[in-house]
Amino acid sequence: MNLNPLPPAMREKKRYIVIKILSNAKIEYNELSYTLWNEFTRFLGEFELSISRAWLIEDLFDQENQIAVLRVNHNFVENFRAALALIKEISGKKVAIKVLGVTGTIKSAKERFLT
Amino acid sequence: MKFCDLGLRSNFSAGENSVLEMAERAKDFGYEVLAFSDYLLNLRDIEGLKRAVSEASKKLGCEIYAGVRIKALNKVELIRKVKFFRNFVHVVVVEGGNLEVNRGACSMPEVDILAHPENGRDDSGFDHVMASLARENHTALGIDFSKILEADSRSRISLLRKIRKNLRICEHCRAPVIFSTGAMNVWEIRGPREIMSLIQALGFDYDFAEKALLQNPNFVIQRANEVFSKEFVAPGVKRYES
Repeated sequence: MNLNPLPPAMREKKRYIVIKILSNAKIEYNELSYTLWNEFTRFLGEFELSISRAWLIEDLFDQENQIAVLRVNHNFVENFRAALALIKEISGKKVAIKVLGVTGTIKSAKERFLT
Repeated sequence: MKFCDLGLRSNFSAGENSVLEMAERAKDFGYEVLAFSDYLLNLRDIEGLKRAVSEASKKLGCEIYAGVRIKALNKVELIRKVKFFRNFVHVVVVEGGNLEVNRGACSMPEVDILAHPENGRDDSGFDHVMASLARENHTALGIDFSKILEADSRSRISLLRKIRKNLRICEHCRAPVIFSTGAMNVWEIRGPREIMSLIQALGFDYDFAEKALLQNPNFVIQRANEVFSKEFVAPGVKRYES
């Protein structure tokens, strides 16, 4: 027996933060993911990270243009933007993370930033 | 209204990149009005910075101004330096830390920004009396994002605590606050919206965060532009030709 999917009104509201990594070298998905989790745990803590249901979406990572999409709960967008701004290094390479925008669906994130 | 960054630093003093490189990156992040507040010593430094700034401004097509960052040991030195530099530059930033200097900067209308009154102190270095003076004289409390970025885990905790306390005092006394990147190199520049997010994450509302990056810095530039215009005679007095 399978679980029934929740009705839309009862699902948690999500936002997708589209980020661009500015750096002299190309950053790989694994490096980015490792640094993001470390920095988020450091700045926001385990508790906030667990209730925000943050996730870096692997399928939407654009290696060539260095664009990634991060999913978070809609109440935590500002906290995550602040945490993203405080990242200065990814595996020894100097970086600056620029938030391109925040969208409500993956579809609009793709249309606006990933085409 | 345009997003402003009044705390950039170039290789004229402590920074690592040139005025043009810094301005290009800041423009890419969404700033439209920039000011370079470097540590300057004499008239030759001022002229050099002004020349570099006007060249970059012409090339990029955005407003860029020259400013100065003043370090003073006591009030006498502060007054002397502020009175000298005020005649030449658009933005005057005073580095805080010493209580005498913090109080002096708040009571001088010539000073635009008092940056980091908590510098090198155990307490926050700013109280409600200074905040009231700052409101009367339109001196803003300045906070550089690069300080928060550079701090390691332990010192970042105490720095954010002190900044939050100072912001609460300013919010209560309605004293202006200005956030800037304070970047020394291109990697320290962050977008205006991200800095606003940090202010909101510290527990302040959107309007307060917006004022710290839009209205308050724009007011500083507008006031300086008025003073440097040909019609200006004295504060509140303008010359009109019939």
